Amino acid sequence: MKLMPPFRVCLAACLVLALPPVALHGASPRDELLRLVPDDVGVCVVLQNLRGHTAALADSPFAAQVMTSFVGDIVRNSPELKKLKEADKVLKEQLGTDWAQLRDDILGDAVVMAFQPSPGKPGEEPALFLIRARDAAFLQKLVDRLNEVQKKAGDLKELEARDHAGIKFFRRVEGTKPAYFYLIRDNVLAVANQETMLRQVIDLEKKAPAAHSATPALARQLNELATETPLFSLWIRPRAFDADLEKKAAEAKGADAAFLKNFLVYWKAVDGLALFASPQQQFEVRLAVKARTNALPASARKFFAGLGQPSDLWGAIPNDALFGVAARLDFAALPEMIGEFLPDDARKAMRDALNHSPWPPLDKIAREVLPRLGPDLGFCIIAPPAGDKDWFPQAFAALRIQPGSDDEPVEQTLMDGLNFLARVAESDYNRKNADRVTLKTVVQDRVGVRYFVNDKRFPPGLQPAYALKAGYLLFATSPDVVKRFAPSAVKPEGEVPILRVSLVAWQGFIKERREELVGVLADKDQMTKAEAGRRLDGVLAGLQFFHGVEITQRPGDGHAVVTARIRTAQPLRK
Amino acid sequence: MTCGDAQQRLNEHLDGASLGERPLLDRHLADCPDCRGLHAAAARLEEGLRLFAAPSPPLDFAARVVGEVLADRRQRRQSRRRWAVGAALAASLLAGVIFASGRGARIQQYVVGPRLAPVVQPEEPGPMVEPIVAAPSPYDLVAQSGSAVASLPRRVADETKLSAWSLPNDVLPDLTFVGPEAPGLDQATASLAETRGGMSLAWESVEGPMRRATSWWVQMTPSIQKQ
Repeated sequence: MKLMPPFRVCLAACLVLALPPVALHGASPRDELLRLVPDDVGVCVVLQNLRGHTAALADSPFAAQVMTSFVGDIVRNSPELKKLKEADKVLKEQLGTDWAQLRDDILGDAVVMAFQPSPGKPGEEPALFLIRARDAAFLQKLVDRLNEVQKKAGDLKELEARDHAGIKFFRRVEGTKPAYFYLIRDNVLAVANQETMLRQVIDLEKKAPAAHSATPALARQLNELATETPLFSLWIRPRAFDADLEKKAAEAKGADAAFLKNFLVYWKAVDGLALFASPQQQFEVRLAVKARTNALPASARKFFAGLGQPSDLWGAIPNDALFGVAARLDFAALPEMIGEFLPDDARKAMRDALNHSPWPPLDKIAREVLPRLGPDLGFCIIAPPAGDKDWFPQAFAALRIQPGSDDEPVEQTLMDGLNFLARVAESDYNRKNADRVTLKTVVQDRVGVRYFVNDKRFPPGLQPAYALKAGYLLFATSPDVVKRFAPSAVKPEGEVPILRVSLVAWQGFIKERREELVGVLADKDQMTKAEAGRRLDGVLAGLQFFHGVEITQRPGDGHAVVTARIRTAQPLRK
Repeated sequence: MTCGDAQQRLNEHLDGASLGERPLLDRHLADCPDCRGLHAAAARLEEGLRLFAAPSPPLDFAARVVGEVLADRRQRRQSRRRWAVGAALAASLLAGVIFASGRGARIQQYVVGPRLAPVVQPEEPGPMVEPIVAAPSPYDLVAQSGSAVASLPRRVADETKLSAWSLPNDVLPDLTFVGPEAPGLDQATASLAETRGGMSLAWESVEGPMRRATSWWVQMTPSIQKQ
């Protein structure tokens, strides 16, 4: 391929200038590429604004913190970084560019990769790679230069110009690799593994030239699920996978067939799956599911119905909890939902096993209590108060129990069953061990709390307890934790919290309880206290960059978005 | 003697104990065809086991055991670092980005401490130069760059000795409680285990094309072969 002759540059410039202003500003670089992607692709990856994201990240307080820390020191002195610099130098010598220019001028606006799964033809699936470069002339020059270098080295075996609808494209054969096809149109480079795919790109480009066309369908779907401009997007179109799943379901037998048949019901209710990753003020990863909820089985609709509301348990989980997770799930629907994935005989066996326990007290629980479990469920670990003599973290697990009537005292049935199990556990432990565990009872504000005591076996602060309090079945690390447990309604504010980890609280806990933790670590891992101390300091050094991690869920009209957010100690943007 | 007694004796006998007083047992076996059948089957089993040659360990047995123990220890160590590698990955990628962004010099002003090496100011991208065909091929360097980017997180994790993932495991006491078995629950979980095959088939349908797509896109990266 030759350098773009001057007259072509002039022609390209005239064409660009001849376009109305809307053409210059009407579509984002991403949308310019997405309009060239055929509708039937199954997987699409988009990388956009790499230049802007990289610049913002490099200038961020977080980058400054990392690079001035021991991590920056390690990275700067690493042999790997030296290799990267050498590679950069050779790139400059061979292609007249470097990574920074490649990233900013070639990959900086938008890159799209698309793939069309074809069941039964794994080696022949059409794939497409699109780049929208900032500098069209540089793109053309770079491709010419690459061809030239590879030709002289004998790596480029064939470079054949072809034509479709008056537009020239190239067939390229490199070494022993299969041929692929590419096309450069202004500042867009399209590469495909099949000629038909590239011809489709040309047809789409001719059909909707420039940015006049409306937002492409794929871009509309991504916009619907992403609230901002993510750096990375992965879009999966479930319909592209239907044929293969249906074939497998038809061929499968027994348990596999039952599972796949029901899985297809869920799969067909999903219209799109997307994963986004983006460094904003903090780093965010989002999984978005676009589904028709009315197409889901009734049991699944019932099970997930409460997910849109925050659990009242968040009222009992402090902001500085070491770990907290809580959600609203209808557990009464769970056996039915799981049972639908099983063959008839296995479903019956599971139902029988749940409904008929060999122990009479548990049999009653299965019948009376299981349908009343939920919807709130949560678990939380909290650091002990600073200065407290007990160093063991405090924790509780709670499950809401729907109240029973006078005729059906569910709470009493449940406590009877739990007390029975606790007695069995106590006697079993004492029979097998030299030390003894004792089951005790304490009454706190008319709430009976049962707890185990074993000073030899349990670390200070641990007295496993259980109780029924405020409508919750509660398991806790001590009766004190039960006493403080006070769930309250949480006002829904956009995103519904699901999980939260406070890494700041972890830092505080490790610093405060360093001596005890060093002792436990040294004892458990058979190491010296000095080594255990070094390990703890390593943990602290790593934690200093982060504030916390949280997972939230945002319900929407026909879609749900789960967001994992890593909060850094310093923002990722200035 | 009851059937329960006879079967208890048999169980104990199979565990190595003597069958004890035979007259009572023999009388019961004479009357009970079920127990007689069980005892006859046990006798056949014992006879069969006696005919087996005593197994001898393979020649490399000791080496393999030592190797597997070491591998297991390595794996435990790696799993402890998994979290740390994740954290380090972010930091390393950031460092890579900063390097590639040509902003190393700007970062240098924040650098403190005697061990820190000065950051080299990356050169400005120059104008296009004539092809240097005879120059060393970048193939190896490009390959090495890939492995360098991959190994940076590990280096950071190794050198910082982050082991946060292991901390909760180390702190929490071993509270394993071995209580009486609940046969009903076993049955329920066995039913659930049957779904594993179906899950794996469904996963294959999505994961397979995704893997092939990734593989193709990676191949598409322009390669400059060794000259």
